[in-house]
Amino acid sequence: MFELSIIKKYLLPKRKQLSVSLIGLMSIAVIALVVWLLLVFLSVTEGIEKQWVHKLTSLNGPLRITPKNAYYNSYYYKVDTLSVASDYKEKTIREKLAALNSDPYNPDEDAEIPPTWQRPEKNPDNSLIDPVKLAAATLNELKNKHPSLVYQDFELSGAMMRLQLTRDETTHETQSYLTQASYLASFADKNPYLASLILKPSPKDLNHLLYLTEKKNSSLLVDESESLVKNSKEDFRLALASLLDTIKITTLQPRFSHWKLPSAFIPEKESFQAVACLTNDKITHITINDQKEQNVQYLSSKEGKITKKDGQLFFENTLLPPTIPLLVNGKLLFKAALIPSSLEKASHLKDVKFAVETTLQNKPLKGSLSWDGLEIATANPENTFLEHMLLSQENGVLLAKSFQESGVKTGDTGYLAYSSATASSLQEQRIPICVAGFYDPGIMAVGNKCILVPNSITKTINSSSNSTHFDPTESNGILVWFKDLKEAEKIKAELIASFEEKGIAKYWKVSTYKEYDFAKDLMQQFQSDKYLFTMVGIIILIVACSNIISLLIILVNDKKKEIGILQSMGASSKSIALIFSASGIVMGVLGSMIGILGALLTLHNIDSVVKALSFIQGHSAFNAAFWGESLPSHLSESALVFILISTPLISLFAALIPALKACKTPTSSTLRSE
Amino acid sequence: MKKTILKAKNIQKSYPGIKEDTKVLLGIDLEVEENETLAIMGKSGEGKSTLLHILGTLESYNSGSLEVCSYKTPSPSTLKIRNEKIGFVFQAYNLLEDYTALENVLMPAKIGRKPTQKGSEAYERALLLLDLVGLNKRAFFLTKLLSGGEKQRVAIARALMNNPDLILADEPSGNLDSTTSSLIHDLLLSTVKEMGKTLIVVTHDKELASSCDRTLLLKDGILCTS
Repeated sequence: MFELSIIKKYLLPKRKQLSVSLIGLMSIAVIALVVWLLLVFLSVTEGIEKQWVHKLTSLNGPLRITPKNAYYNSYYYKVDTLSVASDYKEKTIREKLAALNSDPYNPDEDAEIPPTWQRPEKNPDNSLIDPVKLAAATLNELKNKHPSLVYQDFELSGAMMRLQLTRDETTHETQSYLTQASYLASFADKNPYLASLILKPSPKDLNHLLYLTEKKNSSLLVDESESLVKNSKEDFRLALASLLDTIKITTLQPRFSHWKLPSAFIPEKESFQAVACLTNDKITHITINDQKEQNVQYLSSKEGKITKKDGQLFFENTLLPPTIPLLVNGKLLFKAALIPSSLEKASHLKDVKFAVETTLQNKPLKGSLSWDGLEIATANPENTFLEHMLLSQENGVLLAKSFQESGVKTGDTGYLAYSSATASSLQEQRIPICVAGFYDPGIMAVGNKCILVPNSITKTINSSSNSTHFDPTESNGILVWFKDLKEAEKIKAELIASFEEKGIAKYWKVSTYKEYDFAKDLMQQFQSDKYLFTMVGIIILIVACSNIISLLIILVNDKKKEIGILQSMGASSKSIALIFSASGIVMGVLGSMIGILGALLTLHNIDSVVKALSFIQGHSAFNAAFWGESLPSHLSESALVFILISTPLISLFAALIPALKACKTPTSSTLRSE
Repeated sequence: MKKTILKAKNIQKSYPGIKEDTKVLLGIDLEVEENETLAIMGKSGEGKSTLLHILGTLESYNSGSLEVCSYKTPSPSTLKIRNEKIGFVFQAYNLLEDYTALENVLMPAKIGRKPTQKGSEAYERALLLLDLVGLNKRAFFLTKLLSGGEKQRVAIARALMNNPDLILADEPSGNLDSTTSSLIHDLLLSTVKEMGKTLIVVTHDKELASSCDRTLLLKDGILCTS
């Protein structure tokens, strides 16, 4: 095609056509810049939306089935309050599901059914229609079609949480309290995605847990500063052994700088640079500076070498008495392995020993160390860690990760307080709890106040308290999880169809994650933000591509004679228009390719970009609470498709005006001699 | 009997003016047979180039009829006629300056969607034509680097590329010195004769005109014998 060779000639920058070349390069650069900006923004926002939806649906399920008012007004729900078999108490969905008899009413024992109640809805065989069991049956049927489908009932409640924070400070123990009105959600152990939300325990948490093995809470329910007492040896050993079963300590570090190094650690005939601190010309202690640390200046000191000969330490040639402490200035990192035999006789943490390896002034040190002045630097929790935390203590609960910022650590204990109405007054009731871990609630409005508790707690609080009653239609229901979120609407439709078939549709409200009250607004805002930016992006893209118009008009004017020559040889108007419109598209595509490449590079190095932005701003550029720990770095496929379609199209439209001008060039007049 | 290559009847052409139209051609009647060489002479501004452009389908006319190589014009085949039946040689050469001589010669074939890669029939013909006009050593030179005479030789080779029946030359030596002019005239006439083409040349050069089979004078918008 001769058109191609002409396009190539026109688009290659030439010194002779400097202005055209410069405008061309600028047009491509502007398109690239806009494409880069659009792609990075859309990819990051889409990634964040995905992350957020993932967190939302992992915690709350992509589908939620909640009872409607018709359920609470039904004979089926109310009958338990009359029935002696149900202990005159309303049943939760879990209890209804477990109940052997759908209709516990016994006319011989129970009081008469009030005439205002709705009539019981019966099956053809005269048995009571059981909406809960039928809903569960429907979900079980759906499992055949959607194997990844899992469901579990949930219950919400509220209580005042009070945690006692006992901390092992440098010299003494401190205690403080944290009180927080909290939402309680029943812990969904069947939730297959819960594990992805639970945070790995930090070394701080693990050190705290180790510290707590020596302690025992005398009473979790009383606000007493002295409630934490020393654990018995047996209980300590048991607690320590079971904890160390669930974590693998890999490295240790001294808790403070100037850590006291046991003299046995110094290898025979090895020497280290050291500083002897003198008082009245007598050595009081020796400081060995780790190379990474700055030397500490003493008022009266002497630099020299410390050496071990025949088991005795010498500073230069002076024999050091064993009482002189050797201090290491700097934080050493010990590769550590627990010596299991040390656990058998341990009565304190100090008795636990580790085989360790490290380097000091680039010289290897090896030996065994006891847990004295050390702490965990890194450790790998085993899969059983969370289970251990949830089961080892009574009522293990999971807190939202924001509690970590308030200073709460794994292992902290306390209670949940709620009020219960008695005949004459409201009485405060307390349920002991222990923090088993933390989870990431995403950016749900109430997420930071939400605690995941055992089902027994929500049940206890809801059944005995009226003061914390939520809207009943929202506080109890069934959560449904499945792999592909795109199927949410389909599964919802299938569920409703099946409920209608079974005659229980009027009892249940089925909502997808897009309809959740607590998420709807935020999600819509997210969508509108995205649409708004896409609109702005398209406008900027149109402006960027419109540069092509001016460039091509200049080019057409410049190439009038060539157009005439080509036409005199039989080139059609179509060919001429094609040359100029394709030139526009090529520029658009070239610009977008550069932009896409730039976006890929930026997303690949997004953390460095964020760091640079934070450095320029002087504070964190993106709030971790909203944007997550790190920005998503995956290139959005939909954004890429949008760019790949829109840029050539807009470029084509931009090039059409010059192309039409080109093909209307009068042939004859351009060919006449000047 | 010789075939008629071009038949023009009562061609009229005027350009729109502010007060009244400027009439350039008042009724041109012309018939040119195959292998004939025809010179059209006339004063500047008489409309010689306009007539040649009309005959070459590059410009429209107001009334009359025109038949080129048995095709009536204007017609949907105009582009085909231009590409296959007519070869142009202009006073200002009208070459693609950023292309080599060979690329320029090959361009009509490319526009006619013929294969032009190395070794193709068109490629070989282009080289042959360049050889014929004495530019085989300049084939791969950018035309902007060639002299006026060389450029016009490239233009002659290009005009012959698609083996057209009719060559239209608009003052082919207008931009050249007298020595080069006569060389170009000789080349043009000899090539046209040798290849059996029809030539219509607009010229001021009496020598060239006398070398043609027939000479016509364009005066007051009408063609007459000189």
